[in-house]
Amino acid sequence: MKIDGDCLETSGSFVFNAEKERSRHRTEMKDKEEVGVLQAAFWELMEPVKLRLYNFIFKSLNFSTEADDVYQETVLHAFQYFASFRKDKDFRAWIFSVAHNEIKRHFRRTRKQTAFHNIDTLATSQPDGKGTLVREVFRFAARLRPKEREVFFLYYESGFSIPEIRRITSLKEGYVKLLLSQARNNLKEALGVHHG
Amino acid sequence: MDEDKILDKEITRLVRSLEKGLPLGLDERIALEASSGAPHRRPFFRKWHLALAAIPGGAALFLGFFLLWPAFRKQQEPQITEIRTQFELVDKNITIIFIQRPDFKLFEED
Repeated sequence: MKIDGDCLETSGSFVFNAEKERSRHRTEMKDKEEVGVLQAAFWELMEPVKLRLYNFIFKSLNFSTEADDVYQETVLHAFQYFASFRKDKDFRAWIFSVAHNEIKRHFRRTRKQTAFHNIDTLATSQPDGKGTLVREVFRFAARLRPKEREVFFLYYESGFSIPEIRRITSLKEGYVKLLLSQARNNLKEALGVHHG
Repeated sequence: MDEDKILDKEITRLVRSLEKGLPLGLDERIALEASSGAPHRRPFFRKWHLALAAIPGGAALFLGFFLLWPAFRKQQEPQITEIRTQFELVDKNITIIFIQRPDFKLFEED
């Protein structure tokens, strides 16, 4: 009787362990599936924004070659923390706020020692002869402070609205409006001169 | 306002006229690096753990500061608390001692 009891007990524990193992395996598989779905969703959402994102970083860094590294860091960080992204939010604004943080970190790390592109060599191949105007706009942007330049390009390059820029950069709406107004006033003159 | 809109359109057009495509291989490099590590499922907990690890560090700094504080503290200048004047009349075997303290009140009647 005692032996039977032991056998039953052993068999019971075996069944229990096997069930636990199966359950663990199921959870692992489910986790893997979830991660796979999450990864696929991330790359799918990235596809339509990546070119705009890259150009925003590239221009915010004054055409520095370090833009590639900052873009890579942005995408990797966004990918890493994609699970914290709330699905009811705008992915485009979310990834640009990640880029904003990366640009800020870049300028803090390099202490503004970024090797900038020579603006005068830009846009020489503009088909409609607007090369000078383009250079004028980018020369103006190059003179701005990094966070001001970001606001400028978030508005004119990436097409964000003022409330969206406020959310991305955490700057006050009034300040964003002021920066854009200053940019307009400065460029009005510069562009006006060339138009005339 | 309309003038602003026209200007905005013009600036947008000029800014976007210069566009750079993604460098060759950059996307692949990022995808490769991303695939080596799965996305974090609970970033909050990660931050929470980091914050927890900072507590003993902060406590050690705090203790260190209080232990080393006396060594770096500026020494106070000695204060005169008492002036003692002593006369000795040797031939009469008398010693007179005047003791002056900060609480000594001059020209004050009892």
